[in-house]
Amino acid sequence: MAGLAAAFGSGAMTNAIAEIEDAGCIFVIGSNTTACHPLISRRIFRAKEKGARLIVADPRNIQLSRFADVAVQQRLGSDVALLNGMMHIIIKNGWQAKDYIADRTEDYEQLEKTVAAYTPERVQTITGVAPADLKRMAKLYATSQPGSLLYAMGITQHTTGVDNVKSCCNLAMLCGYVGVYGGGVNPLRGQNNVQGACDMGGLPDVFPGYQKVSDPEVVEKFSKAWDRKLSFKPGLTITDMVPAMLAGKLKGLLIIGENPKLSDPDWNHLSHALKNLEFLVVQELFLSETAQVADVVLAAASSAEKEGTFTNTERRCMRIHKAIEPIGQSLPDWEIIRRLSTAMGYKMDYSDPEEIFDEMTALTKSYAGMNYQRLGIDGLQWPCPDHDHPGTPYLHKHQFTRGKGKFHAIEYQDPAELPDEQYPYFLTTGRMFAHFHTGTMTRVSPHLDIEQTTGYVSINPKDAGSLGVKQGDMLVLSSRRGRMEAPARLSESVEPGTLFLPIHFGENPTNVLTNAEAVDPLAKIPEFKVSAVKVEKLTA
Amino acid sequence: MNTKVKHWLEDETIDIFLGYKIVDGHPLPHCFTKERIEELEDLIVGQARYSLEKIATHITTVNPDIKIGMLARDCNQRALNVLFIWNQLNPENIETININCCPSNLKEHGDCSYLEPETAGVYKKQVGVDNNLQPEDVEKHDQPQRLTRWMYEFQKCIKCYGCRNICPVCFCTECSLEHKELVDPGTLPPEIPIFHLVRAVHMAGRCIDCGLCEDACPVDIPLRLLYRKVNEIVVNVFDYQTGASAQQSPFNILGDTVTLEPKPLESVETQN
Repeated sequence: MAGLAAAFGSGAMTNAIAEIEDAGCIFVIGSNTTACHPLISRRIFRAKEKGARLIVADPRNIQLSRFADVAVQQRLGSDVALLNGMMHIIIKNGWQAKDYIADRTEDYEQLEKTVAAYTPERVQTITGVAPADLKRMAKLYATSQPGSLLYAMGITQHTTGVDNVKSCCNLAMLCGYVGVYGGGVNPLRGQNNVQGACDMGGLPDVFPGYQKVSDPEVVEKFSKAWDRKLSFKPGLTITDMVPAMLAGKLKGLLIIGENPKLSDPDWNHLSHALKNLEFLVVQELFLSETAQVADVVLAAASSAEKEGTFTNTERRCMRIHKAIEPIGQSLPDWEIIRRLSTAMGYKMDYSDPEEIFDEMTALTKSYAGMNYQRLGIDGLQWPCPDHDHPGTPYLHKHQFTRGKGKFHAIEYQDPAELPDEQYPYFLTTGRMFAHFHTGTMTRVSPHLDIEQTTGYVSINPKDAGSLGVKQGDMLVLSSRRGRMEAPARLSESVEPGTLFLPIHFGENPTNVLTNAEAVDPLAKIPEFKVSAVKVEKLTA
Repeated sequence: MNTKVKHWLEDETIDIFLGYKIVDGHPLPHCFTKERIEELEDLIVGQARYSLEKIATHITTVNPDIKIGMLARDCNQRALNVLFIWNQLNPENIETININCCPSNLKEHGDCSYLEPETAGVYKKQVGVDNNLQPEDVEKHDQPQRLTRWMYEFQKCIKCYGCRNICPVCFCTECSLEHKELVDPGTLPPEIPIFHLVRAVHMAGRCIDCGLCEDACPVDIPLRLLYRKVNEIVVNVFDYQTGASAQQSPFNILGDTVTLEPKPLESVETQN
């Protein structure tokens, strides 16, 4: 999100999901869309069948690759080089949107200079992508208008996550695809309401609507609204909290709806940090791995048991309706927070979520025109500044949120860890279709459990052959952080030399292997997508 | 119509009535009751179409004696006939109010959301199977072509089980699609073509050509067309029109020496 905000001034999917169907070209990079965003893959298939071109760039050979006009498997973590290489070719052929660049963007010259060094041959040595494929990608994307670029965690979960996003923005602006129907730069968010959580200020440095904690006027506004003098000081990111816990500076922690024991990098390191806490409270639906080590667990109600809103990946805020009463003594999150706050001395006096929503819209410009009545079933897409505003399907129409779109000249950097003699394999991690994140909700469903009951490691049949490994044999994976075991799944979806682990399974905890220290310097997102490991067959 | 339903609920001909209600501009399936009889003012008949009989089946598994009234188009009626044959619903416990119907191979005119599939895109026409085709149109292609085209369609499958979950006549507590001996679990696309063929085989003598599966399919696989072909074989072999009546089907004649009485399958919920 930091990369998008720097380039465009707004950290969200630029265009609406339905518009993908009307794109001239869809470029999917770092997203296993059919498995992780299946209803967005529907739009891709429909666009393709209507005649759109499809480009897929993913280190794995994914389901969507079968339908692509060009599908490439770039080496893990080489996205900046790949995107710079595409821009190199586009500029060389004069396919860039010259008027658009002149009228609507800034800092183009530096970009042109930087990408001039990314010749197809050099890009091949970094990414492994053949010059002919790179040329076809560049040509299809630049000449099949409008181009819609889709990405997910495959772009962001890197030490160069922000650089990767900025490069996506560069490419889209270069072709004049931002601020147009059917185009855009479209990050596919990993949870149903992660956009909403960020919009509501669920980040260490902002109030709702991304109003900066460091801005005195903003602090003044919220201090007045909440009748308390508020701090100017941004809080800690989760990545910074771990060292703070270890140093004893962070003593108590309230975790709401997250299972960091499974989802955060370097399991052993984090477990050690959690043990150092004086007090840990977890607010959860189920007794997750993290909830199991908490001092107090607060039972939260699920989305079927409460009223409220979710804001999805396309900035669409939608009502949710209670289908059943909360089971047992569980309570909706807002009610738990209300009681907790009141008990701690700040009285929160809300009778329902609608009252909270109305308070929020009064303080947040992008949501100002919304109320429960207007949301109906279809919801509204922000920005929606007043009650007559129909919502905004795509952003940056006449001008970018920040004024001019900003090009960032980005040089390629290696991932923090590359295979070496001791740890000769690339490891990448991700989701599989049947489970969601750490499996707290999906692994208790019998129908989903049937699809996948345990973790596994995808390994190319050639590597399996040389290790003498058959389908289902137990493998031991180790990295500089730790070791874990998982049964082998022989699959051509990974190249020789690369392994894939799904993240859902606590008994095969993938994040024992990943690196907590390899983070993006700006966004602080860990490099889940690249680690170096060694692999052996488990011997009894 | 509303008066009739009101009488039924008041004189306890039925305990509940399944119909549609407009919520925020969308017609949604709704269960009308005597306790909230005033809601009947919102009961509407429009183009909305849902397998209300599937809701009736779920309710009946939990409460076998409940009397259910429902709106019924021709497709709902055909589905009810199949559910009666397979002992999933008891005809004595079901009352219907017949309403206008969608065009299908069985009826040409109607009024429902599923008037025609959308026009197929150029690429789909080129490499896949156009959802608007008839079985005989597809058979004009030679066999390798047909296989390639159907495999293109199946490859898109995201294994959402939407086809099964919406199907009014899918009622088994154990589903063959979830048997790992038949279909390898855990992969996308699912094992093809077997995933789709297992379901197609099970549609013989069961599919009532409502097209809800195809409506539900997020990736536009022409499922209705596939099952139509299956039932064409059923007509040719058994001269049996699925769903046309509640008379015994050739698929559940157990033979003279078998005296088993088929009973409604117990769901997991009732066992617990």
